[in-house]
Amino acid sequence: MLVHGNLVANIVSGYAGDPADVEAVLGEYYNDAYQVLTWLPIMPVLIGLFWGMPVLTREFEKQTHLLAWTQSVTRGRWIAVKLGSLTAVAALFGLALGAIVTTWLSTFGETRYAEPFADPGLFSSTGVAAGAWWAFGFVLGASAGAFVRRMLPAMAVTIAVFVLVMVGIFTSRDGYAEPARLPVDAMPPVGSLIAHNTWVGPDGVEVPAGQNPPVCQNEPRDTYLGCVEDAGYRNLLYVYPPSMYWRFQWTESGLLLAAAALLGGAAVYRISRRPV
Amino acid sequence: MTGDNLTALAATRSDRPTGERPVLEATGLGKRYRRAWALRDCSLAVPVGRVVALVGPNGAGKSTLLRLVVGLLAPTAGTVRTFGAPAGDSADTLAKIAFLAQDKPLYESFTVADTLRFGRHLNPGWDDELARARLAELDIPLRRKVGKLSGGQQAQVALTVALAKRPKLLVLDEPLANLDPLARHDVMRGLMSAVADSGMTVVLSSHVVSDLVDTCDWLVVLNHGRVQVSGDIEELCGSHRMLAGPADQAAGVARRLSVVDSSSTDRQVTMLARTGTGDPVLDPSGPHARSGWRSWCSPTCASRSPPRCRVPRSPPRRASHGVADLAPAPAAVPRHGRTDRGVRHRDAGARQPRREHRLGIRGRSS
Repeated sequence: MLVHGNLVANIVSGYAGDPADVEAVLGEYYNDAYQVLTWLPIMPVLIGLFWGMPVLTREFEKQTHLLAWTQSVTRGRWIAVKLGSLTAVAALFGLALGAIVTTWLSTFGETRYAEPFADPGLFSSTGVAAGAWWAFGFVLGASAGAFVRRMLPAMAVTIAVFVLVMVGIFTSRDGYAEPARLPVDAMPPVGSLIAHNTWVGPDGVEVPAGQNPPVCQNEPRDTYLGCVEDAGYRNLLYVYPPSMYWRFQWTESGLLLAAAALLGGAAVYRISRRPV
Repeated sequence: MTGDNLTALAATRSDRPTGERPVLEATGLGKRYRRAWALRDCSLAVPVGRVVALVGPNGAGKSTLLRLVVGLLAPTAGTVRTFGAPAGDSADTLAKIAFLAQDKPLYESFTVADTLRFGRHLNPGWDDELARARLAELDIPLRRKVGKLSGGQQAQVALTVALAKRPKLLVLDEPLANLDPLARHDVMRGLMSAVADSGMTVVLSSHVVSDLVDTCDWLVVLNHGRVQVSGDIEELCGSHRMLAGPADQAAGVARRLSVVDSSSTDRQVTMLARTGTGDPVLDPSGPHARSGWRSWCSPTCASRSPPRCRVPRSPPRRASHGVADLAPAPAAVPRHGRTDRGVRHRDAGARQPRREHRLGIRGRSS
């Protein structure tokens, strides 16, 4: 990333030609790296599977929990300290990764690529959300191990829950704040997140979100847009401006950390209550 | 048999005014896994300073009972208390108990030194000097990974961790399983010298009774999840005998005696029965008199030499009936070679010297 970022930075600062060419070259560079970066959102589940889960399942597998739980420390304290400290470490690693990705993205400057707000995957791999996702993944894996105990079923549970949460979070980001309405036909500013788009009729009345204008109902698909525009309808965008990035980041982190706290609390309760 | 008589015997013993409450006390203790009861109606009380042998076949509920005692499991029914407090409930109770689980789990990626550090950090009463001295004596290198040690050495490390905690109650689940005879001997010797030094109460389980010969003074027999016997070994030995005879007559004998345990082949049945303190109760005039029944002290008892298991004062008169009643006993005693020792035990009287002698560590400095 460092090498790649340096290359990109050199191109941005050193290329004196046509800006469109710069865009094109940057686009190539970006796509190369994006092939890798697009996998970043699933890093937290890997953390959960290969780091969080063995915290307990390995103990159960090797029976070492019988050793650990009969020392002079109560089980509740043992698991709470273990989960707490390791989750903090996982969160720190996530934050570090977030910082690296953010720095790398910043080398692209004000281009249409590298928008951590608009790209749902990059959003969860940058800023504080990266740390929160890692912490959540770790706690999810560890608590799956506390409840399911055996490695493979616990893995299945972890993956299933993680996918549900990821889909849930990615689709519910719209609800974090009220979007701003852009002027008719305006392009969204660089770095903003589009909430939804709709139409404004010739009379200035907005078509409700999710509905089509009451014209051109029977128009074939390829001439539909032209027909609607001829009928006087204008495109209207609702966006979250780039300034809302951090608000979204903190909201998402709060949600994930709350979920992690719930899961972790349940795991501590499960372990400190004796196995039945 | 339900073990009621013998549990009652144990209860009367623990009711004696010893001035100390039992280290371990179970009342109506039961544990159910899903549908099946692993342990039922278990009531026993173990006085301070005893070495308790918990014996029973595989699946009898030994591990379940021990895990209940150290608080790893919660009872489904009844209560189990150690030092007067619910088992394994608090750090305070945990500090007084050490547990060596079956298969002696240790963190295999730890070095031996790491393992000691683990014990030191998790136990306020940790005796690092004791641990290091023990391991040095056993020639176990501190830098070696635990996973690279031999099975016997791993058992010794696990036992060291348990002992260095300086527990008042040491609970060992099958401490000798999976060990070769030499390692068994070493582990048992190490354990017993530590026990003699500290006077702690020990509960150890085994399905191989011969492991526990000579080391234990309190016996708990579990079978099918129920306590069959619990009490002082010498008292139990005085009132139980092994019987062997034709399998087809086993039911008849079982009607007249409380059979604790029995095993049979096609033709022959061998059973442990409560025969009372009198002479063996094979009625010479009964239907079994001529049919080849014999009785003897269990090997465990023979080595302890309760009066009935020593050389009989008079040779058995019933040989003519075909019931070689006490005949095996004279053979058994010399075979175990402990006749004189046993007599001396009896003479020594006081509890502690007897135990030390039995532990075979008389020559050791404490």
